[in-house]
Amino acid sequence: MHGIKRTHLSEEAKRQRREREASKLKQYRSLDSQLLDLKASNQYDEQSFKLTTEILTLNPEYYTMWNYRRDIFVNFHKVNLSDDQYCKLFDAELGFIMLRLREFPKVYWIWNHRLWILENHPNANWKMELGIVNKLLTLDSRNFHGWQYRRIVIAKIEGDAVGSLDLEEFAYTTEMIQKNFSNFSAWFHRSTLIPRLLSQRKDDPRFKDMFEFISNEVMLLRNAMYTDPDDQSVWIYLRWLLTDDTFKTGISQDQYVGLLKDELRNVNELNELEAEDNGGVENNWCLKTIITIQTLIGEQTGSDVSAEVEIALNKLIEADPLRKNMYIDQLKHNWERQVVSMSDIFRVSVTQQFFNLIRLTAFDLIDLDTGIIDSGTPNGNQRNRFVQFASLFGSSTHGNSDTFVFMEVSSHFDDPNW
Amino acid sequence: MPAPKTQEPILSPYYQLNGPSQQIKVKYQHPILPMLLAKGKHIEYIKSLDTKTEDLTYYLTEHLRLNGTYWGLTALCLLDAKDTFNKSDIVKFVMSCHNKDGGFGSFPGHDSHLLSTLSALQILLIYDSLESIPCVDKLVQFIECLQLPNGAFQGDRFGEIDTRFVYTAVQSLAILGRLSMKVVQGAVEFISKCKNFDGGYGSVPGAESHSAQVFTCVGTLAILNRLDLVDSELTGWWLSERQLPEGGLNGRAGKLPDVCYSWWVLSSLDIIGKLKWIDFAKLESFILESQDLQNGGISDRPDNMVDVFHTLFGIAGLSLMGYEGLVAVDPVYCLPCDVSAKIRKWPYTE
Ligand SMILES: [Zn+2]
Repeated sequence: MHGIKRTHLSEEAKRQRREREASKLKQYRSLDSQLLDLKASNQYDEQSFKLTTEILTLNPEYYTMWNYRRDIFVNFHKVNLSDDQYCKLFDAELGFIMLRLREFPKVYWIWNHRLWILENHPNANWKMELGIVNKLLTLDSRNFHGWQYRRIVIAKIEGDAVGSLDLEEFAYTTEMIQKNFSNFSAWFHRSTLIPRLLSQRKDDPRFKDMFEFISNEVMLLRNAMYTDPDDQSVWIYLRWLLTDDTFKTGISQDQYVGLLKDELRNVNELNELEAEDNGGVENNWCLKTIITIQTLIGEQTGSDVSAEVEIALNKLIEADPLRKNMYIDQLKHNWERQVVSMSDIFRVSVTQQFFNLIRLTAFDLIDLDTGIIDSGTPNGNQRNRFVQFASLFGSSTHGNSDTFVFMEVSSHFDDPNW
Repeated sequence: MPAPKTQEPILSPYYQLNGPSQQIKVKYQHPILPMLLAKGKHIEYIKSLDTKTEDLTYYLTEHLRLNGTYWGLTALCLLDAKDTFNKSDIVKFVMSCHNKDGGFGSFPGHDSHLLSTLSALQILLIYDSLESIPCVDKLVQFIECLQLPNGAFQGDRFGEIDTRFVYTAVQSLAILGRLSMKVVQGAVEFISKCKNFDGGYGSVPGAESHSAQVFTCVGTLAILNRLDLVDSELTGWWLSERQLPEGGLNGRAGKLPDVCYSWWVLSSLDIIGKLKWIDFAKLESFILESQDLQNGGISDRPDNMVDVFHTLFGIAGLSLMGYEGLVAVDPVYCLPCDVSAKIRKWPYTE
């Protein structure tokens, strides 16, 4: 049950409701048992068909009755009606389903039945169906069923030898996005079309040059992200655009790195504007995107971006506390990825004024008096000092015999206790 | 937590612990005081569900009765109150939903469907009563026949395809200890195609990511010992972005929070080893605030109507977060861990 306000009825009110419902309840139960009997005896006729209409009007989730109804179509109507009559019956059924869908747009069984009717319709008009999907998606532009159903309808129309509708669908997503930037369903649908368009529609100037295409797409996103920088749909789509192999491998490395740097500049700018507007508070999605882009630049150019990534992660630990533990894990990975030797870790960690993570194995020990890293098997004393050090700062040691992982706050390095 | 509208003093848990010597009249509940899980109320609520035979809704929901029985029973198990239901009554009811085709419908006389079949098997497993099924081969055949050439499963003979049905088929066969190479390969292949660029999974290839579908896909891969196919960093990121400032989790970008996603999102995070990537305290209070403290039960969000579905998934979410006093739930099977431990794990080694 979703989205229905809670009410607490008094006993009296409950009694009154039961009284009101009593006749309806009786009618429903007798209808139900009548139908189950008919169904059990494989009764396929006009009477049983009518009764399924009645019960499905009362209860559109009664999947068994949708099944029974389909069996009646196949075993009775199809056998006894002329093609023309059968067609008309199916058209009428589409009208019946539409009424149910308008009332219950999220009931799987109704969508499922509609699809079955069209697939078994002697003369299905999938193009008209597309018009209906358009209407339904105007009423609720994020309806999950609606979008999925749309993809099926499109595939059917394409199957009827019309050829690819990717261009039309691309235009549709543009229209939906322009109406509402936050419609991730539209952005997602768009992402499934683009790789095909770029490889198959080189005749169209918009898709001829991949670099130009991405640049245009980025401009569209810029508009959206400046309109509402907190909207995650836009950022998730940008992430796709910057990381998908289609683009990574489809344009030259120079172009790709140029694009990344350009976008990094843009996101940084937006982030600064946001900070100015919000009393110094930076935008979380800008920070997340900066990390993504920096990492990609690092991958492409081989440059060490760990410091930049770390700064952004440290900010996010503060600014986006819901996901703090994710950023801490990422910080750890950042170290593992970027820092080659253990002595580097140690050197960096004592100089950083941030929240750091050190990963040490039993073969890499820090002499806590001198700060010198010693590779070898720990002696009992070293091991004890190490455990003591970690526990001093309230972090846990995972002391299986060869790995210690602990967290420390570097300001504690000034602590005279160690 | 909104201040209650009544003038009745609400006694904080601290007050209850400290007893009457420190009696202070609390006019309003301070937002930082933790709300507690009203276990007794929820047990009463679940118990009451089968007594509402004078309500029309009772009959309008028969098509979900077997699923509802599983939701209620599992919630009771997690509340450590399994004996609230009468085992032989329930097993008898489950077997009355068994059809000639080998599958289970949701109610006597209702058609077989994978969704109700899994619920039946989960209940029978909880009660150690799988031997009640007269012909397991027929049931296995019913499930296997619903697999399509591309590896997907349809829910019944009418052809609806969805990763939900892959999960229900695979868990059903796992409970029966009857997974096979053919089923496994097809299922893995189909699930892999439902993975999206954002790390989420959709209902079919090319469908938008949805938290519930992430659970069914990652859950299937977990049962089939193929978690290597999951990009846990990316999927974990997408899942963690489901948490909203009010603490609840949503199903997709830009949607409202809902208690049932406490299960779909959290179980998935747990399966891929990223359970801590959301804020427990905030989610916990979102779930607890969705309780009906008067009549028991949990709703999709605070102040909405409760139902047994959200009651289970709220409690199961709390159990994953280690809420005190709850029985541990298995994130892969949505069964108590001691029940899922009975399932033979794939790959089978004689
Ligand atoms: Zn829900």
